[in-house]
Amino acid sequence: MNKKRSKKGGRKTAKEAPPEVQVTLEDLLETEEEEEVQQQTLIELLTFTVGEEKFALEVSEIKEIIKHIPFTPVPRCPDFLLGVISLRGEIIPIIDLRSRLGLGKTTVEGEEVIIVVHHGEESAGHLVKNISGIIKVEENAVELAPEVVPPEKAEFLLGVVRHQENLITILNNSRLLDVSEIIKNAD
Amino acid sequence: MSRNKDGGMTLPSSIKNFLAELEDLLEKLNRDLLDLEDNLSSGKETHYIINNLFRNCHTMKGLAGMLSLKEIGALAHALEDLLDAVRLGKIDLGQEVLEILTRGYEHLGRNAKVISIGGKASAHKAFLRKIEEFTAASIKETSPDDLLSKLDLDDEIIRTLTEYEEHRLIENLNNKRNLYIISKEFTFEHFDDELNGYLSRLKSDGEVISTLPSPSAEDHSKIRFDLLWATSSGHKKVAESFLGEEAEITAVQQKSPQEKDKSSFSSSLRSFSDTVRVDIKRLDNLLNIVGELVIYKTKLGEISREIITRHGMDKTSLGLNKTVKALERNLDLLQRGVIETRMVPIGQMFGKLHRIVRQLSRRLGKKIDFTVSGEETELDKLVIEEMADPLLHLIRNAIDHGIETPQKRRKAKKPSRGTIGLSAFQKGHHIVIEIEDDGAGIDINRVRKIAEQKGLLGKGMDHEDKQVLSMLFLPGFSTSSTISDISGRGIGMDVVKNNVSRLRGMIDIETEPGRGTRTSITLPMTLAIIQALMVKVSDSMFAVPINSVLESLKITSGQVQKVEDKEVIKLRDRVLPLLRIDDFFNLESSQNGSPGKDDLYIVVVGLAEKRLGLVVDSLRGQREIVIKSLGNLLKSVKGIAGATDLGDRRAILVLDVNGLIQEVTHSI
Repeated sequence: MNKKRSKKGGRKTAKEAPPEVQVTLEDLLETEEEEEVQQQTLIELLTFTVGEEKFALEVSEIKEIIKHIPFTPVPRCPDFLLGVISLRGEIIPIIDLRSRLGLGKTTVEGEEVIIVVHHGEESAGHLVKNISGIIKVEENAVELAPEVVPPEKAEFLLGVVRHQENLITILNNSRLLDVSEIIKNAD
Repeated sequence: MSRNKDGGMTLPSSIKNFLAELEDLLEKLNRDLLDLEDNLSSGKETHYIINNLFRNCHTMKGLAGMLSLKEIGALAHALEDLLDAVRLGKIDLGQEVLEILTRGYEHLGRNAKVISIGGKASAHKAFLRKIEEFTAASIKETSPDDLLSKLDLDDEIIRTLTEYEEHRLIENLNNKRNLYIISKEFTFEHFDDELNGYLSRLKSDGEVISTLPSPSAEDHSKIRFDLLWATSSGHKKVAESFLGEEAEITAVQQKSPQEKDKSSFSSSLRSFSDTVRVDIKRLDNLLNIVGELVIYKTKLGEISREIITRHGMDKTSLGLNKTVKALERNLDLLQRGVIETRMVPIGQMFGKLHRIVRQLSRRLGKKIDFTVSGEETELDKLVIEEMADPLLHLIRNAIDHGIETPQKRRKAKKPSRGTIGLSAFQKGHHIVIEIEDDGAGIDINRVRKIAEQKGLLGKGMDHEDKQVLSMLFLPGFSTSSTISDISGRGIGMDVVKNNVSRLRGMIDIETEPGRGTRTSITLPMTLAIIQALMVKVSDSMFAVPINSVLESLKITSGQVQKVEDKEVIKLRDRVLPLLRIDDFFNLESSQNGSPGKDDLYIVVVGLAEKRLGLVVDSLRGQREIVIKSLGNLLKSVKGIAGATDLGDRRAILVLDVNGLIQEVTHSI
């Protein structure tokens, strides 16, 4: 399981190549040129509010954003898992992001949005009240995360960026989707 | 695009293709090795088997070379060299050769497995050295053959014979067989088929040493072949059998007919068969799409019926109805077609088990006949994969615990050779695999005692045999007082059960002391699309896979009794434990308080010998569903096997009958 992702260097931009494609000489030349043009790597973030805080997920990890659709509760699963939906035939678990981050529970009213994300083969939907928009920030601008969530949830944070007076916390999607420990504890 | 999660788990597709091909080749090697062993011990012809082995090792070497898999290449190469020497008669075929080949096969198999999980193959240096040394040391000096010069064969022909063909020729002459040259014309268009047909006829009564295209054909639409044929039939019989045929037959005496090179027409650019190899993932994908279509079809049918009820039978609604019907029919065909492409004969696996039986019985000093039937029975590729370990285990158990030693058997007035039978057959929509042995049977009292000692069964209670036998499937349960490295460690039977129930199958054991044991595994023919009974509990809909549903009944709440605080009902003299789905899943009962409900619906589900009654609010008919996984996040939720949707974007949970039964039996 890939626990920590390096913050430096290899961060990929929004449209990434499929993993198995072999790199050709042309590709190498192209990337070199690109790097010359823009020294700074920009990352695209989708921002939204959970509770009182502003959070963000990297756009490259997002499949789509859908309006709330009724989900089927799954019995006997952790609280933050609200249930599953069937999105064009794919079964997708819905995570109450607020509860996942230890910031209380979302009262589901049917006006929420679901950010469908993926990590590897896994898909999941993060349920949030609303989304604010997409911003581009320089990768170098990402700083260490302040304590906006309870300490035991710190693993879910990648870092923080300042954007127009706002402090936006970037979430670690792969950790959010990893429930192996919770399940172990439950057993 | 999915990312490579763990880094390194994704194999390049070239390797994947190679693995598929390698698996095929290994399977062929295995079969040939078994045949070789048989024929060697019964003194039958072996040269064509050696040839097959040689060819397949050669192919494997080539493949491995292309992908620079050095370890596999080197092994295949060493085996090829050895086989080449054997087929040229330079090394005598004996137990030692057979053993090396078998070990080589095992090493190759292990390497293939290691590579398939992304590991590094082992070079087996010591083994390689052993083969090389053995090959070098065992090669006999070939004697210059005056036999050939004495023959009435054209020098030109003799010169064109390959080393192997020459060796076969001498071999045949040494065996005092008669030699003929058969010259026959074939049409140019179909000569390969015709020639192959002709060759197989000749092979049935002798050996075709060489096949030589001959230039003498005058008719341009025809091609002439000279076949050098050795047979033990006498001249008269040969003359009779070729009577009236358009072929020239010349007996080769001590003088000279014709001959030429083994221009290998059989290994021309055309491939041998019309089959296509497909990655199972592609088929999975196809099946998923078909699954989606099935859902839409059902939905469309509903809409069409609704239109008819709403608007009556006008032209449009009837037209729609007709089209939906046609769609249904064709989709059904498509679905069946896709499922069929995933089906492979179970015989593939039986061959491997054959080998295990031989090895183990030899090691344990038991004499065992292994009979198989129904090899052609087809099962979903995935089901077969999942069944490999369970079957292996059951067979091991049968050898280790079932069949007695020859001495014991004689004492019990049984034939000293034991029999293990493996059979597969279709039964309705299921496939049944049975493993039967004529060994000692399972000592039920012993099982009962151990279960009581371990506190799994209440002491002094009168448990049914079936219930006692079901203890065998519990993790860590072993009746064997000695632990061998073959079985008896108490792991295994629970694995068997888990794999079987993961496939939504059932397992049953019947045993008779002194007479033997029969284990039958009942499996669904395919996994992806299943029939399910839809049930409603509180406000939630659930799907119960129909193959685990035995019956459903309506009872009144008065019939429910309590035994040790658990709800049960009496069903045909058996006590059936109940499980209230709403309690189990903490569903809020929306209709009314629980005692108010007078009518209860019970869905009786069964897995192997276990029965459980699921209490639901209502039954909502049978549907065809596609089971989908809940994903990693939810995979450990007990009692839920997956989810499906009925085309209205609402996910419906599919109950995991096995999980529910386990929950209940654990809590008792």
